[in-house]
Amino acid sequence: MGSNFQLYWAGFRVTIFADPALNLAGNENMQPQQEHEFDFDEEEVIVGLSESLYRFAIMTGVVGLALVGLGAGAIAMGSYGGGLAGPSIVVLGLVAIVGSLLFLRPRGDFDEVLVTRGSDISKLMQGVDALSVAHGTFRLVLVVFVLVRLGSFLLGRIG
Amino acid sequence: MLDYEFSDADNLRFSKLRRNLLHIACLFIILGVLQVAAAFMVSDVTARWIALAAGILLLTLGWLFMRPLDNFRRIVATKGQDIRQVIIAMKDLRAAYLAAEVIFGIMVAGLVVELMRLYSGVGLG
Repeated sequence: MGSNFQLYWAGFRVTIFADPALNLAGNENMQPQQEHEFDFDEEEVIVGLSESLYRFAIMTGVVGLALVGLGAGAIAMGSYGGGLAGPSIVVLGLVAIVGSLLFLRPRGDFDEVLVTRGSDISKLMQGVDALSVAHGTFRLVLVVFVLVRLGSFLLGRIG
Repeated sequence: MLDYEFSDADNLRFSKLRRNLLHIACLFIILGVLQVAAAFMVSDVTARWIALAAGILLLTLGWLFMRPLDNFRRIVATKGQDIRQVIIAMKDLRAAYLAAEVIFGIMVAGLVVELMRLYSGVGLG
């Protein structure tokens, strides 16, 4: 429901009824596309993805915590050649924990698709955006893993 | 009834997600290839099989993250089937996350074993 405006001009009161369906550009044929409402089967798929995302986020967080523990141990014991190995593992663990938190956000957006009406596509797109950001961070973690694995592989070959 | 059609702005957002997923799939495949190659450098037979299995799991994960890419591409490229493609992509993504969950579980187990070795003074260092 839009708000109405009242103007006083030359002693007359003029009320302007603001209708959200009215196209102010003057082109009455250009109606905005009505949002799609997901049916039961489609919502089942969205719930499934939302639950998977939650478990995946938790598991990524646990990996992060384990890495932080391993890094702290490496620093304390001077393992893995000492130097930057321990702190690097701790940083990687922290990035994994932050990444896991980012995966919880799209889950919330996908859950909202189920509980709201008339804005399913908007909520879905919010979820898609949040998923994009989460994958961007996850990609960073994977790049570090690949570099570490490549380094250890090359060292193994040279050794 | 005509299927819902995503706007150009929405298509851009799907393209961005698709690109990120593609990078992740490629990174998992690279990790898998490295793991398989490293498996053949291990002298201990049991350790070799474990490393080989981990490599195959990583390659599978890469393949699973590749599966929804085609549907995300179709959302942008085709007309009249956007919702169907989104739902198929979501199903594929769900399978990928489930597999990632299992692999991360194995990884956590490995990290815990390594932590125990480290704190008992027989770590790899």
